[in-house]
Amino acid sequence: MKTPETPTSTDTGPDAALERRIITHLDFRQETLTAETQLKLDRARRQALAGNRGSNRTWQAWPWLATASAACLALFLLVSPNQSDVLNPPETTDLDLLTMSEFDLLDQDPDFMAWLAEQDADLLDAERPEQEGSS
Amino acid sequence: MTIPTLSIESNAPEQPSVSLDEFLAGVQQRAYMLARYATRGDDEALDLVQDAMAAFIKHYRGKPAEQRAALFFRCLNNRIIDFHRQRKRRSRWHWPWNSQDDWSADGPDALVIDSTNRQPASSAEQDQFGQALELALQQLPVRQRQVFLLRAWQGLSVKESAQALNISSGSIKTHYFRALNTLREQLEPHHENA
Repeated sequence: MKTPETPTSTDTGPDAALERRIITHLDFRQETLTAETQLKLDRARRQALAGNRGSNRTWQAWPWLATASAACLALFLLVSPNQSDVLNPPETTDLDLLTMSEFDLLDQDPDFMAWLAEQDADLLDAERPEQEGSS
Repeated sequence: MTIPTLSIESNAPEQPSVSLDEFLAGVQQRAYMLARYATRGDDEALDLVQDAMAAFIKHYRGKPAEQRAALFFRCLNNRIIDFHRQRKRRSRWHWPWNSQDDWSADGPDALVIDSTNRQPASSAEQDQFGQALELALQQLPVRQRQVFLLRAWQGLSVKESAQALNISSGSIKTHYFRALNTLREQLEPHHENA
C-alpha cells in the first residue's frame, strides 16, 4: 500500500534501514497478537457490521452510576425540609383526651359536671320558645 | 434520441458487506495496535476499533475503495481523541491534583510507558531493539506517533494521512520528520549494534 511519496526517507537513504527494521518489528508484533485478541477483533468487526455496539468496558458505567446516585441523595438531603421545621403532629387528640383518666371530670369533679348539665339544660330551654316562636 | 436502458446491474447496490468485511478484516489488527499504543488498555483499544468500524460503516460505507483507509483511520483517530478528552475530564474530576496530566494532540504523551506490563512474546521480541522501539513509540507525542505509524507502517500518503488526522499536509511532514529524528536518536545505538 506504499505510495511513491511514502515515507520521507528514500529507500536508500540513511533512515531507510532504520525504517525497515521498525516496520519489520511492528509487523512481527501484529502477527503475534494473541488468538484471543484476534477473536475479539473478529467479533468486534462482526458486531460493527451488524450494527451492534457491545462494549468491552461496561464496568466503566458503575462509577458514573454511583456518582449520580450520591448526587441525588445529597440533593435530596439539601432540599428536603429540616426535621425541626416540620410541624409536629399533635401528640394527643380529642379522643385521647376523653379517654385519659386525668381528664375524667365526671369522676374528679361531679359538681362541675352537674353545673354544666344545668347550664346546658337552661340553654336548651331558653332556645326552645324562640325556635317555636320563629316557626 | 435513444432512450438509455436501465441496467439492473449498474443500479444494483454493491455488496458492501462483503468488501467492507474484507477491508475491515485487513486493517483491524493495525487499528488495534494504533489504539493500543494510544490507550494502553486492551479493552479500551478494542472498543475504539469497534466504534471506529461502526462509524466508518455508518458514514463511509459507500465511498470508493481507494479512500477507505484514510477515512477509516480518520474515524479511529477521532475516537482516540475523544478517549483522551474523556480521560482528561475524568482525571480532573476525580483527581484534580493530577490535572497537569494534560493531553494534547501535539504535546507530549503524558502517560509514560509501563514497560513491565509488556511481556515479550518471543525471543525476537526480547531483543533490545524491540524493547527500545516500544519505549520510544510510547514516549513519542501522540500526533507524531500517529503520523509515523500511518505513514511508515500503514503506508498512507501525505494526503491520506492529512485526511485521516484532519491536519494539513505540511503538519504531516513536520510530525513525520520529528518522529523519525526522535526514533533515530533513541534507536541508533541498538540499530547499529544489530
